[in-house]
Amino acid sequence: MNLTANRAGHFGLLACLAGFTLWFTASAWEADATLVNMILIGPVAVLALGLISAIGIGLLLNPERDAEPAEPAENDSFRERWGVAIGCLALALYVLSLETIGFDVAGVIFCAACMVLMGRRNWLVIVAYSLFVGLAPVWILEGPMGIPVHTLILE
Amino acid sequence: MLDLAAIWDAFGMLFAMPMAWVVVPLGLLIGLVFGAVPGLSVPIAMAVFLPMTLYMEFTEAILFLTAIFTGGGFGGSIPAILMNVPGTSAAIATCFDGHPMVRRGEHNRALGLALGASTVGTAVGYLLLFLVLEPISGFVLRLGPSELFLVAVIGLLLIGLMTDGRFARAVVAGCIGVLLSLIGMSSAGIERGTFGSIYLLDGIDANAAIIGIFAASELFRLVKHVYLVEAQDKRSVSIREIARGFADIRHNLPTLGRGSLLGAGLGVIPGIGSSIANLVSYTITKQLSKEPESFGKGNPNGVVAAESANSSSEGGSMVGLLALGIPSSAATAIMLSAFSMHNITGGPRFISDQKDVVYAIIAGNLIQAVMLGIIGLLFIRIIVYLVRVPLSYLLPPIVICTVLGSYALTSSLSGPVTLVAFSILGVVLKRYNYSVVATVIGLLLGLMMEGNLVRTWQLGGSSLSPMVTRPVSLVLIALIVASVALALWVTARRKSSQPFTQTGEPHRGDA
Repeated sequence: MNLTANRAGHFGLLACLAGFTLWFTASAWEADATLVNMILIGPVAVLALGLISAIGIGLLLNPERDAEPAEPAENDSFRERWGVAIGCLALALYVLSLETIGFDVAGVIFCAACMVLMGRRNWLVIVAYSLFVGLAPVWILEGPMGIPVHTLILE
Repeated sequence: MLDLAAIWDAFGMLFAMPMAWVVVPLGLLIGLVFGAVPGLSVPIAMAVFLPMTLYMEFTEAILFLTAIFTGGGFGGSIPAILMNVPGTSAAIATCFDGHPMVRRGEHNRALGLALGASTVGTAVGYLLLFLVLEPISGFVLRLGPSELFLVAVIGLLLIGLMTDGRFARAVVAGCIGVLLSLIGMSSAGIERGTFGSIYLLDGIDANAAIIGIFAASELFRLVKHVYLVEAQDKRSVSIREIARGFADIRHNLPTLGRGSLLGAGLGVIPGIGSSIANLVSYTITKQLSKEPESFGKGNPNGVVAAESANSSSEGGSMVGLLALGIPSSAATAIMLSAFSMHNITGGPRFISDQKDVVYAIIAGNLIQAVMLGIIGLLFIRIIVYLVRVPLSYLLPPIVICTVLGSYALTSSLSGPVTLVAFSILGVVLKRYNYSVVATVIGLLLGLMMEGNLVRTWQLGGSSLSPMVTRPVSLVLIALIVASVALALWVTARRKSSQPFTQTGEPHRGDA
């Protein structure tokens, strides 16, 4: 079997989708096994599992299928290879830090980190722009929109 | 039948209200800004500015809110075209060809085309509302739960038609979306897949999920680029090009007419209309085209089809509000609040008793469509400069706005957490050509599908017989069979034409 990284990832995705479908169906069944509760969940789960199995079998029978990513990298730069993964990680860290260090400070740090990761090196510009971009939306959220959020600097 | 005396009174009323023509441009501008910023949305804008309507006359208040609605409808297409990030679910199909036009350096023309299609679409939607408000409201009342369920199934299957032979993957993605939408407490009070968390009792917030799966995952892709338009010589900003794009809709009249009629018709259906109108119009236009392979690669017809349909669906969605007193979307629900704030109840009685007010609202919106063309051109003129801003400056504020927008929607961290989870899901699904559009449509329609299926079961006396006994249901079932057959045919054709291609060029419809 031709198990490239891309194909392994696809098998992993299929396993996750099948796992979610089974888990959710079991959870709904345990909560209430009546027909009214399962009227949509049951058929949709059967359809999803059937198609996931068919796609998986198709992958096994066709070693060339999905061997390489659909969008091959245009160049081998760090940003091209790891940009998306680092972007996901940065967003997750930003969201997790909102309630810890405050929406304002988290926004400033996230903006500065993104600018540095995307190649900016003028520190004066980075600091000034990050302060504006990090603080202004939080102020709008708290002030005109009246939605209270946890902040460290802004009152 | 049209009541000419009431129409005359309506125009008299409109021109006797100078304040209306102050609040309408303001509303359009607010809608454009809220629609253009991913994470903000038209319902948020309307909710924020709803208290202002207390100080207005009823007609002025409704015109102000519909102006936000109209502005936001077009505003959502701006990030869809420039960044491949739909500002609203109604702008999903606008991305498919709008963004490829931007990558080709045709950003001015794409935005002009979208504005032209939106302006005409809005006008057609309200014109039809003018002419057929009463008969349509009678027809909508006859749509039962079985028909609403089948329409939702068609909406999901249509996505499969747009994936160029990846039908199975699109259906899997749609099924996952439906299952995700059913997480939380059911209408019967049964907890499903909540892990015992109170944040999941109300289910997954569809808005935060949509922002994540579309916006954030697309923004990650932009991290690899330096500018929205890579070629420096194509980053021009030209009001002449924008205006030319606006005028170019005269070359797309059949698409424009079809999209506007489809949007107005589908917009009437409660809860579904605007979300699927743009997709249905896009799919039909692609299938009827002599060059279907050019769709998803920057075909202007794709932009016109999507924008005309989503704009005209606004007029359709007003049918439920005005004729039945039933809101068909979050935006019309907020308008219903304005109705009650002014002690007015929508419905058949409202139409018969205050026909002049109803016609004034509709006529006001027709004039609004013209104003959208003018204000939209000025707005685009400014916002198109984004193509000259390096992405290192552009992406951080957009991501921050999307995160804060998702927080504003839920008033808790569950919104941003949902956004992160769905952005990662979006990245993975896109990598393997699973349609994220199908997942989103599943998310939007799943709960409604379940409710209508249960009601069909109950009305049929513990059977689904209403689905095969009602004529409209039978027509819809025939459409479903035709959709599946067409999708299977497209899949077979793709396999026979590309026997050794594993992945092929990813279709923008998968985006």
